[in-house]
Amino acid sequence: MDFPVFHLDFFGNRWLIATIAILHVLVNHGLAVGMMPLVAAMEWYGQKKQDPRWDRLAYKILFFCFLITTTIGALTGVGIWLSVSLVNPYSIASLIRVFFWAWFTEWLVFITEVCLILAYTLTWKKWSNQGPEKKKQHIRLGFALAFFSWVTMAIIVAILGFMMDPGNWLTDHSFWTGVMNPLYIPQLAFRTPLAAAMAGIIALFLILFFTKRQDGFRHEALRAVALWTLAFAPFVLAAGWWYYTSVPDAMKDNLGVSLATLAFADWQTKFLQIAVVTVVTILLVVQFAISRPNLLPKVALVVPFFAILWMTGHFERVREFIRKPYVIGQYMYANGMRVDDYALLQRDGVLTYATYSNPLTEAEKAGLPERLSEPERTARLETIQKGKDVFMDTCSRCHTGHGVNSITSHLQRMFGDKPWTPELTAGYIEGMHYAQPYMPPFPGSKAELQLLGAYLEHLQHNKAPIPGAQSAGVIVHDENAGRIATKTNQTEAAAR
Amino acid sequence: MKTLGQWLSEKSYRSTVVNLVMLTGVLAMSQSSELFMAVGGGAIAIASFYFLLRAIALTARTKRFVNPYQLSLTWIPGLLAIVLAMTGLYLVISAEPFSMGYCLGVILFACELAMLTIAGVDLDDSASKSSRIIEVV
Repeated sequence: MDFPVFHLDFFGNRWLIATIAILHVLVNHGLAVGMMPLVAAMEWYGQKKQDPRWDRLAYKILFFCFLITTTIGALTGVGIWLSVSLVNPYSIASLIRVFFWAWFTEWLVFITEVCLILAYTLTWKKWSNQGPEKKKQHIRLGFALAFFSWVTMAIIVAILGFMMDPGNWLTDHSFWTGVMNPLYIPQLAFRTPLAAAMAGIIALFLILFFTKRQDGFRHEALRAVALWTLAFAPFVLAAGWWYYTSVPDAMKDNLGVSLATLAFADWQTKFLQIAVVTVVTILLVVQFAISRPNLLPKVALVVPFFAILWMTGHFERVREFIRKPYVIGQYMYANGMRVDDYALLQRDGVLTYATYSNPLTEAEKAGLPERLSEPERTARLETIQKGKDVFMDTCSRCHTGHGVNSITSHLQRMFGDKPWTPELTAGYIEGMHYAQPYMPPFPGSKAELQLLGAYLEHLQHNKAPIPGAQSAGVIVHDENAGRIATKTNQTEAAAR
Repeated sequence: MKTLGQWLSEKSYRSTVVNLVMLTGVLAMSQSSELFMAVGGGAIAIASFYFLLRAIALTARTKRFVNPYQLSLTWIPGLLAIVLAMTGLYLVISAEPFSMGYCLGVILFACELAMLTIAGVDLDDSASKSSRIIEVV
């Protein structure tokens, strides 16, 4: 609790990360990791067949990828760092402590990748006109770019796998044990062909824009790229199954909820049906592109294009959710508190170690019972203020007050319009992690549970948005600042 | 009627495909998964046999002249159609009649059976073309 709490009360913090991260994954997998080897392969094939049409098509696709990856891709890459640092600085801090050298290496590889894509794109025409030897060098440059694109993904996937299941790292805390976590290789094996297949679908879509309808080459290109897509499909399925069976059973129990929201937990079956329809649709279009490319309309490719984007987005959402209640498996809960710190926090209370308080705005003070005397009103506001601080420190990483995934909507669903008394809500929150295993246990003391209950009771009558530190500011508690951080650093230093 | 007859006779597979679509319609309306399984499975088996026979023959005849890429273009449309037709059949027999899954299964089954037939006939055309090429060589 060493950082002010950033909070978005309408969309919620999770949506900020999810939107940026999913967009980044789509660009990274579809246009970089999967597309660069495809473009290099097209260039190689054109050189081998001495067919300049392949070369022209490959360059057009590359230029499109170059524009998107160096703008949206780069911005969302930085955006992930920005959003996770704002929303959950504790988890990213812990990950940096474990994976510092991995991220440093990834940064070097990324810089190399950026230089290579610049060189590959900008030298295409010049080197192509300088004879076959120079062209061969250019093709090698393309495959080198493809390799470095894959390496960046391979490093990041180690961290993503670690967040789901750190495996033996929990006991020995070594870097390589963290990297070689139980889900690393299965997830990498799944993402690699997925990226290639995704690139194939996107390339099929682009071919229809970059070639003319009457052009016989369009059919040839559609056939070849459809075959590329199809070639990776069995690997996606096989590695997907390997990945799924490697995920711990406790995480699979969260699957139904992760696919939509809590209200749609039974949506799992419907989602699986939609996923099957998506896969079949993709296969149908690929089949048509191979056997009857002349009859394939642009609109038919819109379906697999959006279907694969939808599938990948959902996959990332599921991956993010099923690791709950943890943000780093069995090490740190989604609220940013370490499992090992819980005993201390539950004894002393989270507010004891909170550096900042989140002041109530005038709008948030409305809705108090009428006929309160001034001392009663002051005392009530003080309780609500403390309850709000407990909410901000322990709940607001995932929940909003009145927006998406709001705590009030959950309470409304459970308790309806009857008064949300502190006894009622605190009683539920104290044992909620037994009923809903994706929820972390409440980290604070018994007294703080009552304070939180009083705040939730206030929220039943006050619909004002809850501002984060970025808009309402904070009050600093000097005497408490840095206490838990010092302890955490000492503990981790001793462990290392 | 004359136009329809002309259209059907333009391509050798058109009348077969129309028959297959009608057969699928009758099977779907029967609402019997056992009947669909037996007759639909039989139709897939016959169409697969027709395709595989021609694919093997064409591969054997042209193996010295084609590369793996061309070979895959021979095999993949039909093999994919077999897999998808079986998926359609599975959906039909595992879902309640006229449910969402059942209807999608019926459509997939009919389309893929047609694609499988066309893939087999395409290989006939390819075989005759390749024979001419081999004769010229």
